Amino acid sequence: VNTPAAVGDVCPPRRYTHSRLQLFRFSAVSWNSHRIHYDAEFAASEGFSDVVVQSTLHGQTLTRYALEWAGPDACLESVSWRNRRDRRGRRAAHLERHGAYGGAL
Amino acid sequence: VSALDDVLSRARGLIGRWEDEDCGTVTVKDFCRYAVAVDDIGYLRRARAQEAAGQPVEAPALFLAATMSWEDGPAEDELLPDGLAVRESPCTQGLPVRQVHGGQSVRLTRAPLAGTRVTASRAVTSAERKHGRSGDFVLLGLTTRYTSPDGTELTAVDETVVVLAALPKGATA
Repeated sequence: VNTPAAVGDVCPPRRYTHSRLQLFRFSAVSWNSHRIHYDAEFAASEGFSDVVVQSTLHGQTLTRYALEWAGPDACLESVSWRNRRDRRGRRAAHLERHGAYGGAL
Repeated sequence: VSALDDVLSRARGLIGRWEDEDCGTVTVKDFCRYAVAVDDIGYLRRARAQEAAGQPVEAPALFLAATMSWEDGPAEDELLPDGLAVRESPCTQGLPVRQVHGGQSVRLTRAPLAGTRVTASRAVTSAERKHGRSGDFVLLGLTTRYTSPDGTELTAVDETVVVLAALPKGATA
């Protein structure tokens, strides 16, 4: 049985990769037509090596992971993240803080 | 006066002026399409089972925050060079600039239920001229509050947008 998450607990890191197809579908469903997410040539003109993952898709992925980790009785109150380029020009999101997990405290 | 100065001036003139947008009535299909796009098949199954059982269906946590626009949208030839609609690129219309998202902070007050009519109220909250590794830029702060018809807050999003000067033709960032 997993122990419920408590204030101050830190999620173990998890690596994830999004496919170009997922970027396309997420752009479509979120009505985001910015070319940087599906036009590699345009993304290159902005200094990126490929199309860029939407910041909100990063947020969604991080949120989902945190909720899975916190358990079925948890609910998310707040989440925030910042988007930064790494040294190779790729874009990454850094989760800064998750709010309290109701029901699991 | 540079394009960035123009952005700054426009943004400062808009600070605190809230603009409402009718997001329409959110549906189980909206939620499920969103969940499928982020590969959350577990949500899809739960939501469809709840719907079949006549139970309320809550939206995925970031559904409102992640949706960029609720409008039908402009025709393709009316989009900006980066693909965004003018409305999605505040304070930059007609200016040689480009923008990227800096980050978001999302407060989830109450999960929206399918069948709820949602209103989004948005305002510029801050505008600052900055200098970084990639040169001068303007950092815009925007807040969007999503509410149900009785005024209850569902979700609130504080986001930052980085506005940079357009690249010279043929140049890369």
